[in-house]
Amino acid sequence: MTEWWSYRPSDFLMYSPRVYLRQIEIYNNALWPLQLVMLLVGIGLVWLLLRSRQNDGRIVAIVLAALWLFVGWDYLWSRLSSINWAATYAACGFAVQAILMIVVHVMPSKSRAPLLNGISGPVVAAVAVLLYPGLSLIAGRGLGTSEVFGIMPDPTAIATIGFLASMRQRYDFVLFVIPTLWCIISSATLYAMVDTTWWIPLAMCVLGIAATFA
Amino acid sequence: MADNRRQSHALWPGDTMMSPRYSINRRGALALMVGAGALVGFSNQSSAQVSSLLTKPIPSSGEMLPVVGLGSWITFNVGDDGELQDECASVMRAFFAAGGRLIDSSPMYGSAQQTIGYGLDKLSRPKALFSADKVWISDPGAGREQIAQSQELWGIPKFHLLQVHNLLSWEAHLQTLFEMKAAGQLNYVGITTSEGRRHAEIEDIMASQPIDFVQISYNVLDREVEDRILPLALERKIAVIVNRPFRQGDLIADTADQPLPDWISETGAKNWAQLMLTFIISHPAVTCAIPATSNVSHVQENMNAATGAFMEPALRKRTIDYVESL
Repeated sequence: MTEWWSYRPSDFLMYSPRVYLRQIEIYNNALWPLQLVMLLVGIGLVWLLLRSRQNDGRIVAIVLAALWLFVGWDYLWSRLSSINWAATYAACGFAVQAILMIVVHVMPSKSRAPLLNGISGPVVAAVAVLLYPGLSLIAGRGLGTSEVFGIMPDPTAIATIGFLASMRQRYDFVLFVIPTLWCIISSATLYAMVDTTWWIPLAMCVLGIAATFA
Repeated sequence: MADNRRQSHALWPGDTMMSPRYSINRRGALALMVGAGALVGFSNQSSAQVSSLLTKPIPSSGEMLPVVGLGSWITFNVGDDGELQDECASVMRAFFAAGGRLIDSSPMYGSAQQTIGYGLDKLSRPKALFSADKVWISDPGAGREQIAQSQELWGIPKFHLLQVHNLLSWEAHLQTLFEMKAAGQLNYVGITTSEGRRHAEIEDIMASQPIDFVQISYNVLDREVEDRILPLALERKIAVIVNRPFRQGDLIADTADQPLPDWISETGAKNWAQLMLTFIISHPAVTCAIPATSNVSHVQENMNAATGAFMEPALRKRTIDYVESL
């Protein structure tokens, strides 16, 4: 990219906030009441983490992998890509994340119990599951544009970072890459749209990573 | 405005870079432009609806173009949202009804090409359309395939103008476009940049390649192109399309609360958007400005800027001084 330093986040924003938010609202309407199911799934995953029995980590990883595939396909590939061609690449990244979750946490034959690495990780995950949907109200966008775990990328990525912070294993660092990149992209997008909550995905990501080392 | 129209003088007197094509008196120029504007009116509308638009010739052919076109960056990227597609079609209807012709898009603009195709279908394929699109793909061998896809999205058999978007793989794509033009698959070839990037390369291409159009960013505050690119366009008889005339709306937002200059009536403009557009289209090298909007009243406002008169250099200077003082 020539003269890359002259580009600003807004130069990469190829749709208006109105179009973006309407798309989320239409997507939410199409999936309703799956949001309620996902809320329960998210609560269940947090509970599994806190319970921390043998194979709970595997169950969490399988469910997360499925959700990364679902969000990547149903939102990024099938919806967002119609206004942002780069979303197709992001969708591929989400599929890669799903595969990595399986490879790192499910495929190893030796069963390992998730070592609960403090309470910080589950707290980050719980915030993404329970509180993130309310962000749209704080931002003045209305409930129709709520971003729900397992439906939209931001809370899914943040919750995953929280889960990963709870389940540190040998190759976990690889699993942080794509969720972190997504949070950076999301914050940059919201910043370009002059959304007052632009810093939240990035801040939650940093908190989640910090929880890993807590 | 009326006073300006009565004056008889060259379009930009004293401009040494002026091409002979522009060395006609004011009355003659306006008569030519108004007449041509009427001729290129929206064929599917009654002629009574078509305003008399200012037009300028494409230097390489003499074909007249209304000086205000329609961009599609961001505004027409509405995905599969039927309600928003209809809004964009309404914008296109208002554009053609006002006598507009040139619509510009790119494969880079998300679903904008698809939206334009939808609008053209809804408007029964207006014959006045001057279709301007771009080739934007890094693989030098994939240009023709991408162009074919773009034509399909627009629903047209061929483009009037194809431009190499942001100079991406420009050597190979220009060659493809020149071949298409020679084969009658295309009328005009161009290159584009935006926001002041790669101007040195733009100049080199303008000086060395037989292009018909160059598309650049230019507005009352971003005037770097006045130094070399616009004079070169006059010298090489290259038509100039101006993108980002309002800095993607920032200029209008920044001046919205500011008082209009008390001499605005001398420009023919009635608001900030028209003042800024009139400033741009009054440069003798500029053929057409392409503001993008998804708002019908805004497109009507923009098209009205092409129904006034061109600004004199002194008035353009006054406009710069005033806007910079805000």
